[in-house]
Amino acid sequence: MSGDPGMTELRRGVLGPCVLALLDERPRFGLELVRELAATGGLLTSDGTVYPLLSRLRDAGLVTSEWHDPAGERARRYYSITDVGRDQLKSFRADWTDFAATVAVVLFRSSAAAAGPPGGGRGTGRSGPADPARPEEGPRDE
Amino acid sequence: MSDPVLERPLVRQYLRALDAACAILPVPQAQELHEQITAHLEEALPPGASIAEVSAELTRLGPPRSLAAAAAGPSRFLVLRKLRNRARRVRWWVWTAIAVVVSALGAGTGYLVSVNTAAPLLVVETGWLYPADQARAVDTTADDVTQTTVPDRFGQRQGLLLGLVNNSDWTQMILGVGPTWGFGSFPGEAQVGVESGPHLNQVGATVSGTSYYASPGVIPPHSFRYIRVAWTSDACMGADGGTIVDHITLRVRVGLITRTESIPLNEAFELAVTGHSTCP
Repeated sequence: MSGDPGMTELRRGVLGPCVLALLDERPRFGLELVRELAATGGLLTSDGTVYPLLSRLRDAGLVTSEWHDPAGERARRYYSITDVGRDQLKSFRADWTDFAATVAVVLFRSSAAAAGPPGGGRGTGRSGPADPARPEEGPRDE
Repeated sequence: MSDPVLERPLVRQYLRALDAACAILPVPQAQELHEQITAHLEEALPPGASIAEVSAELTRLGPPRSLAAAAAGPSRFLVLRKLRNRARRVRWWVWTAIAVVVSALGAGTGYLVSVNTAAPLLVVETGWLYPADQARAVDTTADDVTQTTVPDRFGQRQGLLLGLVNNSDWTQMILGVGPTWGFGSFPGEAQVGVESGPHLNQVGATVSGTSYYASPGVIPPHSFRYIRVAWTSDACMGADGGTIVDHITLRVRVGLITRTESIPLNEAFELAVTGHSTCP
Protein backbone atom coordinates (compact mmCIF):
# COMPACT_ATOMS: atom_id res chain seq x y z
CA MET A 1 0.00 0.00 0.00
CA SER A 2 1.50 3.31 -1.06
CA GLY A 3 2.26 5.94 1.54
CA ASP A 4 2.27 8.62 -1.12
CA PRO A 5 0.41 11.72 0.10
CA GLY A 6 -1.54 11.86 -3.12
CA MET A 7 -2.77 8.31 -2.63
CA THR A 8 -3.63 9.09 0.97
CA GLU A 9 -5.78 11.98 -0.18
CA LEU A 10 -7.35 9.79 -2.85
CA ARG A 11 -8.18 7.08 -0.33
CA ARG A 12 -9.65 9.65 1.99
CA GLY A 13 -11.83 10.90 -0.82
CA VAL A 14 -13.22 7.53 -1.80
CA LEU A 15 -13.51 6.00 1.64
CA GLY A 16 -16.81 7.69 2.38
CA PRO A 17 -18.57 6.33 -0.71
CA CYS A 18 -17.08 2.89 0.01
CA VAL A 19 -18.53 2.95 3.51
CA LEU A 20 -21.86 4.02 2.08
CA ALA A 21 -21.68 1.14 -0.39
CA LEU A 22 -21.10 -1.38 2.38
CA LEU A 23 -23.93 0.06 4.44
CA ASP A 24 -26.15 -0.03 1.39
CA GLU A 25 -25.94 -3.80 1.56
CA ARG A 26 -26.99 -3.96 5.19
CA PRO A 27 -26.41 -2.16 8.50
CA ARG A 28 -23.02 -2.86 10.01
CA PHE A 29 -21.21 -2.12 13.25
CA GLY A 30 -17.87 -0.35 13.43
CA LEU A 31 -15.43 -3.23 13.62
CA GLU A 32 -17.32 -5.08 10.91
CA LEU A 33 -16.92 -2.15 8.56
CA VAL A 34 -13.26 -1.78 9.46
CA ARG A 35 -12.55 -5.44 8.81
CA GLU A 36 -14.26 -5.42 5.45
CA LEU A 37 -12.53 -2.26 4.31
CA ALA A 38 -9.17 -3.51 5.57
CA ALA A 39 -9.67 -6.75 3.69
CA THR A 40 -9.66 -4.86 0.41
CA GLY A 41 -6.00 -4.20 1.06
CA GLY A 42 -5.72 -0.64 -0.16
CA LEU A 43 -8.44 1.53 1.17
CA LEU A 44 -7.40 2.15 4.75
CA THR A 45 -4.27 3.88 5.92
CA SER A 46 -5.28 3.04 9.49
CA ASP A 47 -8.32 1.29 10.88
CA GLY A 48 -9.11 4.03 13.35
CA THR A 49 -9.83 6.67 10.75
CA VAL A 50 -13.09 4.91 9.85
CA TYR A 51 -14.69 6.07 13.07
CA PRO A 52 -14.30 9.81 12.57
CA LEU A 53 -15.54 9.24 9.03
CA LEU A 54 -18.65 7.48 10.32
CA SER A 55 -19.33 10.38 12.65
CA ARG A 56 -18.99 12.85 9.81
CA LEU A 57 -21.29 10.83 7.56
CA ARG A 58 -23.85 10.71 10.34
CA ASP A 59 -23.55 14.46 10.95
CA ALA A 60 -24.08 14.98 7.23
CA GLY A 61 -27.27 12.91 7.39
CA LEU A 62 -25.92 10.17 5.13
CA VAL A 63 -25.97 7.46 7.79
CA THR A 64 -27.67 6.90 11.10
CA SER A 65 -26.42 4.98 14.09
CA GLU A 66 -28.30 2.98 16.64
CA TRP A 67 -27.31 0.83 19.59
CA HIS A 68 -28.30 -2.83 19.44
CA ASP A 69 -28.17 -4.58 22.78
CA PRO A 70 -29.57 -8.05 22.36
CA ALA A 71 -29.76 -10.16 25.51
CA GLY A 72 -26.62 -12.18 26.11
CA GLU A 73 -24.64 -10.46 23.40
CA ARG A 74 -22.30 -7.56 23.21
CA ALA A 75 -23.92 -4.16 22.74
CA ARG A 76 -22.98 -2.66 19.39
CA ARG A 77 -23.60 0.56 17.59
CA TYR A 78 -24.95 -0.23 14.13
CA TYR A 79 -24.71 2.18 11.25
CA SER A 80 -27.35 2.34 8.48
CA ILE A 81 -27.44 4.33 5.29
CA THR A 82 -30.18 6.95 4.90
CA ASP A 83 -32.11 7.83 1.76
CA VAL A 84 -29.93 10.87 1.33
CA GLY A 85 -26.90 8.61 1.64
CA ARG A 86 -28.28 6.30 -1.04
CA ASP A 87 -28.85 9.19 -3.40
CA GLN A 88 -25.33 10.39 -2.86
CA LEU A 89 -23.92 6.92 -3.36
CA LYS A 90 -25.83 6.52 -6.59
CA SER A 91 -24.57 9.81 -7.83
CA PHE A 92 -21.00 8.99 -6.84
CA ARG A 93 -21.12 5.63 -8.58
CA ALA A 94 -22.16 7.29 -11.80
CA ASP A 95 -19.50 9.97 -11.51
CA TRP A 96 -16.81 7.55 -10.47
CA THR A 97 -17.08 5.39 -13.56
CA ASP A 98 -16.52 8.33 -15.86
CA PHE A 99 -13.91 9.86 -13.60
CA ALA A 100 -11.85 6.70 -13.27
CA ALA A 101 -11.94 6.16 -17.02
CA THR A 102 -10.83 9.72 -17.68
CA VAL A 103 -7.99 9.50 -15.17
CA ALA A 104 -6.84 6.21 -16.65
CA VAL A 105 -6.76 7.64 -20.16
CA VAL A 106 -4.66 10.62 -19.11
CA LEU A 107 -2.34 8.64 -16.87
CA PHE A 108 -1.52 5.94 -19.35
CA ARG A 109 -1.35 8.17 -22.38
CA SER A 110 1.63 9.87 -20.66
CA SER A 111 3.26 6.51 -19.98
CA ALA A 112 2.71 5.44 -23.56
CA ALA A 113 4.36 8.57 -24.91
CA ALA A 114 7.37 8.11 -22.64
CA ALA A 115 7.81 4.50 -23.71
CA GLY A 116 7.21 5.23 -27.35
CA PRO A 117 9.56 4.20 -30.19
CA PRO A 118 12.93 5.98 -30.43
CA GLY A 119 13.13 8.72 -33.00
CA GLY A 120 10.36 10.87 -31.62
CA GLY A 121 7.36 8.97 -32.85
CA ARG A 122 4.16 10.79 -31.94
CA GLY A 123 1.79 9.02 -29.65
CA THR A 124 -1.86 9.10 -30.56
CA GLY A 125 -3.24 8.37 -27.14
CA ARG A 126 -5.01 5.41 -28.70
CA SER A 127 -2.08 3.05 -28.90
CA GLY A 128 -1.72 -0.13 -26.91
CA PRO A 129 -0.46 -0.49 -23.36
CA ALA A 130 2.78 1.36 -22.68
CA ASP A 131 4.10 -1.16 -20.18
CA PRO A 132 4.01 -4.67 -21.53
CA ALA A 133 4.45 -5.98 -18.02
CA ARG A 134 1.08 -4.53 -17.00
CA PRO A 135 -1.13 -4.96 -20.02
CA GLU A 136 -4.31 -4.94 -17.96
CA GLU A 137 -3.62 -1.36 -16.83
CA GLY A 138 -3.35 0.06 -20.29
CA PRO A 139 -5.66 2.70 -21.64
CA ARG A 140 -8.99 1.76 -23.00
CA ASP A 141 -9.62 2.23 -26.68
CA GLU A 142 -12.70 4.23 -27.21
CA MET B 1 -18.88 -2.36 30.69
CA SER B 2 -15.76 -3.63 32.42
CA ASP B 3 -13.50 -5.68 30.19
CA PRO B 4 -10.02 -6.89 31.06
CA VAL B 5 -8.89 -5.94 27.56
CA LEU B 6 -9.28 -2.28 28.42
CA GLU B 7 -7.17 -2.75 31.52
CA ARG B 8 -4.15 -3.89 29.55
CA PRO B 9 -1.30 -1.38 30.03
CA LEU B 10 -0.80 -0.86 26.30
CA VAL B 11 -4.50 -0.23 25.79
CA ARG B 12 -4.76 2.11 28.74
CA GLN B 13 -1.74 4.02 27.48
CA TYR B 14 -3.27 4.27 24.02
CA LEU B 15 -6.60 5.48 25.34
CA ARG B 16 -4.89 8.08 27.52
CA ALA B 17 -2.96 9.33 24.51
CA LEU B 18 -6.19 9.39 22.53
CA ASP B 19 -7.92 11.47 25.19
CA ALA B 20 -5.01 13.90 25.21
CA ALA B 21 -5.02 14.17 21.44
CA CYS B 22 -8.79 14.71 21.45
CA ALA B 23 -8.35 17.96 23.36
CA ILE B 24 -8.65 19.65 19.96
CA LEU B 25 -12.19 18.27 19.55
CA PRO B 26 -15.48 19.40 21.02
CA VAL B 27 -16.30 17.34 24.08
CA PRO B 28 -19.17 15.32 22.53
CA GLN B 29 -17.04 14.46 19.49
CA ALA B 30 -14.11 13.45 21.68
CA GLN B 31 -16.36 11.29 23.83
CA GLU B 32 -17.86 9.60 20.81
CA LEU B 33 -14.46 8.81 19.31
CA HIS B 34 -13.30 7.43 22.64
CA GLU B 35 -16.39 5.27 22.83
CA GLN B 36 -15.94 4.04 19.25
CA ILE B 37 -12.30 3.12 19.75
CA THR B 38 -13.06 1.46 23.07
CA ALA B 39 -15.80 -0.63 21.48
CA HIS B 40 -13.47 -1.50 18.61
CA LEU B 41 -10.78 -2.76 20.99
CA GLU B 42 -13.24 -4.69 23.14
CA GLU B 43 -14.51 -6.44 20.05
CA ALA B 44 -11.25 -6.89 18.23
CA LEU B 45 -9.13 -8.17 21.09
CA PRO B 46 -9.96 -11.45 22.78
CA PRO B 47 -9.58 -11.45 26.57
CA GLY B 48 -6.40 -13.47 26.41
CA ALA B 49 -4.77 -11.51 23.63
CA SER B 50 -0.99 -11.48 23.73
CA ILE B 51 1.02 -8.31 23.94
CA ALA B 52 1.95 -8.75 20.31
CA GLU B 53 -1.70 -9.02 19.31
CA VAL B 54 -2.62 -5.96 21.35
CA SER B 55 0.28 -4.03 19.90
CA ALA B 56 -0.61 -5.07 16.34
CA GLU B 57 -4.23 -4.03 16.80
CA LEU B 58 -3.24 -0.64 18.19
CA THR B 59 -0.85 -0.18 15.28
CA ARG B 60 -3.65 -0.97 12.84
CA LEU B 61 -5.85 1.60 14.54
CA GLY B 62 -3.24 4.27 13.91
CA PRO B 63 -1.64 6.92 16.11
CA PRO B 64 -4.09 8.68 18.42
CA ARG B 65 -3.07 12.05 17.05
CA SER B 66 -3.98 10.88 13.55
CA LEU B 67 -7.41 9.78 14.70
CA ALA B 68 -8.00 13.09 16.45
CA ALA B 69 -6.76 14.97 13.40
CA ALA B 70 -9.04 12.93 11.15
CA ALA B 71 -11.97 13.70 13.44
CA ALA B 72 -11.07 17.38 13.47
CA GLY B 73 -11.12 17.55 9.67
CA PRO B 74 -9.00 19.94 7.61
CA SER B 75 -6.22 21.62 9.54
CA ARG B 76 -7.38 25.12 8.70
CA PHE B 77 -8.03 27.12 11.86
CA LEU B 78 -6.86 24.10 13.86
CA VAL B 79 -5.17 26.28 16.46
CA LEU B 80 -8.24 28.44 16.92
CA ARG B 81 -10.44 25.37 17.13
CA LYS B 82 -8.08 23.82 19.64
CA LEU B 83 -8.20 26.89 21.82
CA ARG B 84 -11.96 27.11 21.53
CA ASN B 85 -12.44 23.48 22.43
CA ARG B 86 -10.05 23.73 25.34
CA ALA B 87 -11.94 26.77 26.53
CA ARG B 88 -15.20 24.86 26.33
CA ARG B 89 -13.79 22.22 28.65
CA VAL B 90 -13.22 24.76 31.39
CA ARG B 91 -15.87 24.62 34.10
CA TRP B 92 -18.16 27.61 34.67
CA TRP B 93 -16.76 28.30 38.11
CA VAL B 94 -13.26 28.50 36.69
CA TRP B 95 -14.48 31.15 34.24
CA THR B 96 -16.15 32.94 37.12
CA ALA B 97 -12.95 32.84 39.15
CA ILE B 98 -10.96 34.06 36.15
CA ALA B 99 -13.46 36.88 35.59
CA VAL B 100 -13.21 37.90 39.24
CA VAL B 101 -9.43 37.81 39.21
CA VAL B 102 -9.21 39.71 35.93
CA SER B 103 -11.71 42.30 37.18
CA ALA B 104 -9.80 42.68 40.42
CA LEU B 105 -6.50 42.98 38.58
CA GLY B 106 -8.02 45.47 36.16
CA ALA B 107 -9.52 47.54 38.95
CA GLY B 108 -6.31 47.35 40.95
CA THR B 109 -4.19 48.33 37.99
CA GLY B 110 -6.55 51.16 37.12
CA TYR B 111 -6.45 52.34 40.71
CA LEU B 112 -2.66 52.27 40.89
CA VAL B 113 -2.33 54.03 37.55
CA SER B 114 -4.81 56.64 38.66
CA VAL B 115 -3.13 57.41 41.98
CA ASN B 116 0.35 57.27 40.49
CA THR B 117 -0.55 59.71 37.77
CA ALA B 118 -2.40 62.09 40.11
CA ALA B 119 -1.08 65.60 39.61
CA PRO B 120 1.49 66.54 42.27
CA LEU B 121 0.92 69.43 44.63
CA LEU B 122 1.77 72.88 43.34
CA VAL B 123 3.24 75.76 45.36
CA VAL B 124 1.50 79.05 44.50
CA GLU B 125 2.43 81.17 47.52
CA THR B 126 5.57 81.34 49.60
CA GLY B 127 6.90 83.29 52.57
CA TRP B 128 8.73 83.13 55.87
CA LEU B 129 6.60 81.78 58.68
CA TYR B 130 7.78 83.78 61.68
CA PRO B 131 7.55 87.60 62.04
CA ALA B 132 11.17 87.73 63.17
CA ASP B 133 12.24 86.39 59.79
CA GLN B 134 9.63 88.34 57.82
CA ALA B 135 10.99 91.55 59.32
CA ARG B 136 14.58 90.74 58.39
CA ALA B 137 14.02 89.17 54.98
CA VAL B 138 16.04 90.64 52.15
CA ASP B 139 14.70 89.92 48.70
CA THR B 140 16.95 90.01 45.65
CA THR B 141 16.36 89.23 42.01
CA ALA B 142 18.89 88.17 39.44
CA ASP B 143 18.23 86.59 36.06
CA ASP B 144 14.51 86.46 36.84
CA VAL B 145 15.19 84.39 39.95
CA THR B 146 14.00 85.80 43.23
CA GLN B 147 15.75 84.93 46.46
CA THR B 148 14.75 85.83 49.98
CA THR B 149 17.39 85.69 52.68
CA VAL B 150 17.07 85.75 56.44
CA PRO B 151 19.66 85.34 59.20
CA ASP B 152 20.21 81.87 60.51
CA ARG B 153 18.87 82.02 64.08
CA PHE B 154 20.79 79.19 65.69
CA GLY B 155 18.76 77.15 68.15
CA GLN B 156 15.48 78.92 67.35
CA ARG B 157 12.41 77.95 65.38
CA GLN B 158 12.34 79.11 61.80
CA GLY B 159 10.00 78.13 59.02
CA LEU B 160 8.17 78.67 55.74
CA LEU B 161 4.53 79.32 55.00
CA LEU B 162 3.53 77.80 51.66
CA GLY B 163 0.26 77.96 49.74
CA LEU B 164 -0.37 74.64 47.98
CA VAL B 165 -2.89 73.66 45.34
CA ASN B 166 -4.03 70.08 44.83
CA ASN B 167 -5.01 69.91 41.16
CA SER B 168 -5.66 66.16 41.21
CA ASP B 169 -8.92 64.25 41.66
CA TRP B 170 -7.55 62.59 44.79
CA THR B 171 -7.33 63.85 48.34
CA GLN B 172 -3.65 64.19 49.16
CA MET B 173 -2.50 63.74 52.74
CA ILE B 174 0.79 65.41 53.64
CA LEU B 175 2.69 63.20 56.06
CA GLY B 176 5.84 65.26 56.39
CA VAL B 177 8.89 66.44 54.51
CA GLY B 178 10.99 64.09 52.47
CA PRO B 179 13.81 62.34 54.34
CA THR B 180 16.54 64.32 52.64
CA TRP B 181 14.96 67.75 52.61
CA GLY B 182 16.13 70.48 54.94
CA PHE B 183 18.27 73.53 55.45
CA GLY B 184 21.84 72.52 56.07
CA SER B 185 22.33 70.01 58.81
CA PHE B 186 18.79 69.11 59.84
CA PRO B 187 17.34 67.16 56.94
CA GLY B 188 14.11 65.37 57.72
CA GLU B 189 13.59 67.10 61.02
CA ALA B 190 11.15 69.77 59.84
CA GLN B 191 7.54 69.52 60.94
CA VAL B 192 4.71 70.13 58.52
CA GLY B 193 1.25 71.32 59.49
CA VAL B 194 -1.60 71.56 57.00
CA GLU B 195 -4.34 74.14 57.31
CA SER B 196 -7.38 72.25 58.53
CA GLY B 197 -10.74 72.94 60.04
CA PRO B 198 -14.27 71.65 60.19
CA HIS B 199 -15.47 73.81 57.32
CA LEU B 200 -12.89 75.13 54.91
CA ASN B 201 -13.87 75.92 51.37
CA GLN B 202 -11.82 75.07 48.31
CA VAL B 203 -9.59 78.09 48.70
CA GLY B 204 -8.92 77.33 52.35
CA ALA B 205 -11.18 80.05 53.76
CA THR B 206 -13.19 79.17 56.86
CA VAL B 207 -16.91 78.86 56.25
CA SER B 208 -17.57 78.41 59.93
CA GLY B 209 -15.52 77.85 63.03
CA THR B 210 -11.78 78.34 63.06
CA SER B 211 -8.95 76.73 61.19
CA TYR B 212 -5.88 75.10 62.66
CA TYR B 213 -2.83 73.26 61.42
CA ALA B 214 -2.83 69.50 61.57
CA SER B 215 -0.09 66.98 61.03
CA PRO B 216 -0.67 64.95 59.05
CA GLY B 217 -3.22 67.01 57.19
CA VAL B 218 -5.14 66.67 53.96
CA ILE B 219 -5.73 68.81 50.91
CA PRO B 220 -8.99 67.87 49.19
CA PRO B 221 -9.11 67.53 45.40
CA HIS B 222 -8.88 70.83 43.52
CA SER B 223 -8.39 72.79 46.72
CA PHE B 224 -5.93 75.28 48.19
CA ARG B 225 -4.39 75.02 51.65
CA TYR B 226 -1.59 76.70 53.53
CA ILE B 227 1.05 74.54 55.07
CA ARG B 228 3.58 75.43 57.72
CA VAL B 229 7.07 73.97 57.51
CA ALA B 230 9.05 74.68 60.67
CA TRP B 231 12.33 73.53 62.11
CA THR B 232 14.85 74.42 64.79
CA SER B 233 17.88 75.91 63.11
CA ASP B 234 20.97 74.11 64.25
CA ALA B 235 23.32 74.75 61.36
CA CYS B 236 26.16 76.85 62.66
CA MET B 237 28.01 78.24 59.71
CA GLY B 238 31.02 80.40 59.44
CA ALA B 239 30.99 84.01 58.40
CA ASP B 240 29.31 84.59 55.01
CA GLY B 241 28.02 81.03 55.14
CA GLY B 242 24.50 80.13 54.05
CA THR B 243 22.23 77.45 52.81
CA ILE B 244 19.57 77.73 50.13
CA VAL B 245 16.55 75.66 49.09
CA ASP B 246 14.49 76.21 45.97
CA HIS B 247 12.15 73.21 46.29
CA ILE B 248 10.53 71.19 48.99
CA THR B 249 10.02 67.45 49.06
CA LEU B 250 6.91 66.20 50.79
CA ARG B 251 5.81 62.69 51.66
CA VAL B 252 2.25 62.52 50.40
CA ARG B 253 -0.30 59.74 50.63
CA VAL B 254 -2.57 59.46 47.60
CA GLY B 255 -5.22 56.79 48.04
CA LEU B 256 -3.38 53.78 49.38
CA ILE B 257 0.07 54.68 48.19
CA THR B 258 2.64 57.03 49.67
CA ARG B 259 4.94 58.92 47.38
CA THR B 260 7.48 61.69 47.66
CA GLU B 261 6.74 64.82 45.68
CA SER B 262 9.47 67.28 44.83
CA ILE B 263 7.76 70.66 44.51
CA PRO B 264 9.53 73.74 43.16
CA LEU B 265 9.16 76.89 45.24
CA ASN B 266 8.31 80.25 43.67
CA GLU B 267 11.52 81.69 45.06
CA ALA B 268 14.72 80.54 46.67
CA PHE B 269 15.01 80.66 50.46
CA GLU B 270 18.33 81.24 52.17
CA LEU B 271 19.47 81.03 55.73
CA ALA B 272 22.62 83.10 55.97
CA VAL B 273 25.17 84.08 58.57
CA THR B 274 24.77 87.84 58.80
CA GLY B 275 25.08 90.46 61.43
CA HIS B 276 21.78 89.24 62.83
CA SER B 277 22.77 85.59 63.05
CA THR B 278 22.92 84.20 66.51
CA CYS B 279 25.33 81.39 65.97
CA PRO B 280 27.28 80.96 69.26
